[in-house]
Amino acid sequence: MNRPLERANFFKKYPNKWIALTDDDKFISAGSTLDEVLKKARRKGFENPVTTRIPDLRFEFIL
Amino acid sequence: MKLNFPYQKISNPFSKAFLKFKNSPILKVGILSDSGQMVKVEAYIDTGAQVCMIDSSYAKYLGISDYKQVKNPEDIVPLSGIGGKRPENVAYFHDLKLVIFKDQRHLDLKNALHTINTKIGFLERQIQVAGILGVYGFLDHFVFKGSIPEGYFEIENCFE
Repeated sequence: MNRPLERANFFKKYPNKWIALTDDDKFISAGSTLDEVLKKARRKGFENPVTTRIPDLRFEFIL
Repeated sequence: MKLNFPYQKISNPFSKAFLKFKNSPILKVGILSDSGQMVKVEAYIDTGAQVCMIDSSYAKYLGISDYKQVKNPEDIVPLSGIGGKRPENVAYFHDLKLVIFKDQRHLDLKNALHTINTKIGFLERQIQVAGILGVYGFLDHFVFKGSIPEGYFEIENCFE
């Protein structure tokens, strides 16, 4: 089994933001747009990180 | 091959009791273009979605300068959902490859379980997640079983 994704902190810190992670889930950068997080990640030497959007839990969403 | 993944569990401090705990089937996938550019996206498996879709910001990183320029008019698809508006969003479909990885901590093509040639839609309006994995191109290739009480979901490749 793959390990659980540890996201609790991200939901607190980065609601409604994009974040970039290493393949093994280490935080690299956050920003308001995908471009911004990728730019920051590349400046730190991560050419192709995993990216995701963190939902804002103050607004309910059902998928 | 069967692969098991834990549900992403979120406790929502803002929610009422019955909405407090959310279990999300999140999978890290690759989206690969014909030019060989790949983006790595955390996507939400949605068994109710008929198609796979990603945020339109990814287009330029796949070598697509204008995601609204599609091959055929039928590649532009208006979308509606529980919001009730018609349409709520529009997806522009392009021929891409969806890469499913064996190990979620080593996302390179050498570690691909399956690479699926499919159409993936770029969404005109941003949604809460970076990408959605639906039926066409994903769930029609894998048996998906979810067990929220046990805390994991499983995918099994149908076409090995």
